[in-house]
Amino acid sequence: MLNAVQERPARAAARPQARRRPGLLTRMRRSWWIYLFLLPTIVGYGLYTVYPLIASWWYAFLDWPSFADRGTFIGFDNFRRLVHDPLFWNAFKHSLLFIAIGVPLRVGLGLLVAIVLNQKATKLKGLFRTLIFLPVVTTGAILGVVFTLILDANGPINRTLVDLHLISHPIAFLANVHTSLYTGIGVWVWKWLGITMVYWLAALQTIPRSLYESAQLDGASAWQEFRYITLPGLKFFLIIITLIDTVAAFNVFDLLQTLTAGGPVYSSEVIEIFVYRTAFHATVPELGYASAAAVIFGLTTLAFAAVQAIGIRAARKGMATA
Amino acid sequence: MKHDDSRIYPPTPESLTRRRFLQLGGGTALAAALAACTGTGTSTSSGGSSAGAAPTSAAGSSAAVSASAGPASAANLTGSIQWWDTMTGYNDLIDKTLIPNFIKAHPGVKIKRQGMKAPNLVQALELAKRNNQLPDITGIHTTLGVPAALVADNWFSPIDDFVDLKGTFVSDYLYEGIHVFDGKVYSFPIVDRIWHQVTPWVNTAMLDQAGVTATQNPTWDGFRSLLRTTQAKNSGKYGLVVPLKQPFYANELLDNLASFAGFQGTEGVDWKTGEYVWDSQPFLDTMEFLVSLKKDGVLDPAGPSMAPPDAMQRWASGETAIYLYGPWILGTRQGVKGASSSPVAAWRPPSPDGKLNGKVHVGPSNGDLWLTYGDKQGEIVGAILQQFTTQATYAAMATEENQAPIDYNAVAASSAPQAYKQVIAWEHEDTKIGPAPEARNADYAKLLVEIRDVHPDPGEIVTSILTGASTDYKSALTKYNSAANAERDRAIKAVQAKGAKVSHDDWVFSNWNPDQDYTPKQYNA
Repeated sequence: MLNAVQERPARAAARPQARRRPGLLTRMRRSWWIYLFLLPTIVGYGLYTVYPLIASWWYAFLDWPSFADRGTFIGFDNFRRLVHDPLFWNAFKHSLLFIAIGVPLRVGLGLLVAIVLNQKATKLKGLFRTLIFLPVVTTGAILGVVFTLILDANGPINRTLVDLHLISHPIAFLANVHTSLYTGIGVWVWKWLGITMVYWLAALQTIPRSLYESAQLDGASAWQEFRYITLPGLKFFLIIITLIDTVAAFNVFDLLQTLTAGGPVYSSEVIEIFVYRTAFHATVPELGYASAAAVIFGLTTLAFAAVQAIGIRAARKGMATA
Repeated sequence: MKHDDSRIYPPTPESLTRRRFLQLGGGTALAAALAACTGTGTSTSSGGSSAGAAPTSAAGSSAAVSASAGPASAANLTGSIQWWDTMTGYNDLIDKTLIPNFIKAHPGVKIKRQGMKAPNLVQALELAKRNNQLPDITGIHTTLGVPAALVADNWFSPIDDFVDLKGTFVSDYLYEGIHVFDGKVYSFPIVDRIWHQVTPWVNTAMLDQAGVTATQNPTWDGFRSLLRTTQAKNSGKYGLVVPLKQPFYANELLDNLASFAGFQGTEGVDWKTGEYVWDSQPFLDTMEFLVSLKKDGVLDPAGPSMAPPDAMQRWASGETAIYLYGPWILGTRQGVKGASSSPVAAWRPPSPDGKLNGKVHVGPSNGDLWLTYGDKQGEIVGAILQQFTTQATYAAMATEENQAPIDYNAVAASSAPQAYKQVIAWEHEDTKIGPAPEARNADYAKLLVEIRDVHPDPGEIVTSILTGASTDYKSALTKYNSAANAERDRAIKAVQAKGAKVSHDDWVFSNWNPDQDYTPKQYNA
């Protein structure tokens, strides 16, 4: 709040100067060393992000079997085919389902863990934080392979459940069309829980300790502290963390590809795996068709990113006026 | 060296669709032959360092393999060769015997070979082609494209001037449209493609434990019964493992079992009529048999999350009694750490009444190694490829117990175990080379590029049934059959509009005898 108040006169003071700003070329000549330092990033970003992005848009309009040097322009045919491709919509639905289930789980569990690990009374907080964060820094593909073994019908989880007589027959978590996607979501939530927990821990630090102390003096219960102090204080962080996790839920290729490869029978195929399969594993791999799917997927991500930007701006405004 | 991890995977294609692509296309790429195996083999050899390399124990019988003379056998060859392939099942033989021997005979040559998984090879080749960095020698795979399309797109150069195939075993196995284009030879088969994938490989200790009497010609009912008994008497183990992570295995399973139940054709195509017959009685009966296995509860529940190599390891480690697989399992089994010490046996495939009511039909063995387009070192490449036409190399390949060499007679004469020899002999009895449309019509390759996948395909239908996702296989197969015919008709019209001369008749081979190989000469009859 203090920052916001101080910012206003500073901006106001800057306005008259802005009117007299020199031209871009002049500024570049004067501050050439800034642009020099930016150059590697600009070149790298341009080559590895902007160019592929633009190229994929162009490829989406081509009929391009992957063995050919170049494709043939076919207009919107790839998009027309996609609209009528049930496997594309199947993957699209799974991507949305992944977000709808995975994000609330990750955000909610992350908050729960953060609150517990933010309590003074909790022992070994550092150890638990480290343990929960560890999967975040582990490669997704490796985790995928490891979990195929852990969740195997003959794996430790099934053996334990059978030994405890909780189930009579092993459950093929990843090999069942009814459970494969949800199992993937579960592993994803587990892997990334640590980073969401860190977000929440940071958010919790912003709530003044004095509020809790006052509440305790007034005889508030733990639930009342949470309901009337913690939750209101985290409202705007909830928006930001949810949006960050939502965009992250679009990038699950490495984990799901190694866990299930989209199977069995496309039951866990998300858009990214659809794009990969179409581009590299179809009978006749089609770069153009895969690019068209990627473009639609990209637009969807873009829409989420736009919502994220709007949400973050709203949250900032809210924080500033709170 | 037979325990090298690189050998633990079998030479199978990566997906059902690729496989179908191959077979309908006349067996193009299964670079499979060798192809397949996964794992990575990398070797760099040059005259100085490798000339004195001693053969490994695994290659003991390969020590006799020497650099033979082809048209370009001059010892003063000099150059540096890049070589990519998917022949990782033969890494030991190639890297520790063939290449060192070649270098010894040609000290001025350096060879850097990389054996890689098929998807990696395909991606590497696509990138290399666009950047003019293709290796000198390369393998191919179906997902890269059919050979005719690749040759037309300037991927490869002919090898006639560099390799002398006259009088070699492979000279009778060269097909126009697959190995020969416009009268010029571009490649030749090294590995035998004549196999099916439903040989029951049996852990005999588990059967003994169950007191089950082995049978070499199981009926479907008998097969079910022995699986039930074996599983019941081996606590915590399963009767049969069916890997379904990649639908191509399920597709092969259905096709091969249906062939022994009376279907005659390749991948659902009856070559007499050119029609898809996926919904015919042999396929429906086979589906019912597979469903009954599921109902019996004898299938390893982890099967749907396993690829064929995973299932092979599961079987090899004694977790399941039987695995239906190809002849290369013995060679790959040796690379499995913790493999069961139980003896293994092989039977003929299960069939409705214990009599094989037909044969499996596959496309001609594909060309395995190719000289890339515009390569300036054709002479050296030719001399290297020439090694794969000799009886000495075939004899050495036979001892690997992987896929047989193209001259499969070398297996019978080798020191390989009797079980392996027997299975190779059975496979040749039960599997025949079917017709390949592109061997008769060069424009057919354009059609193969145009045809799109139809889903769910038979492999996916099998997977759906065995994972409980659906139960009505009859409707699913009928729907697929209809959709596959419709897609083919659409593709025919599309390529006809572009000037290609293809028609439904390209699928019809009225002179085909299902009991015999369809030979190159028959295409002109």
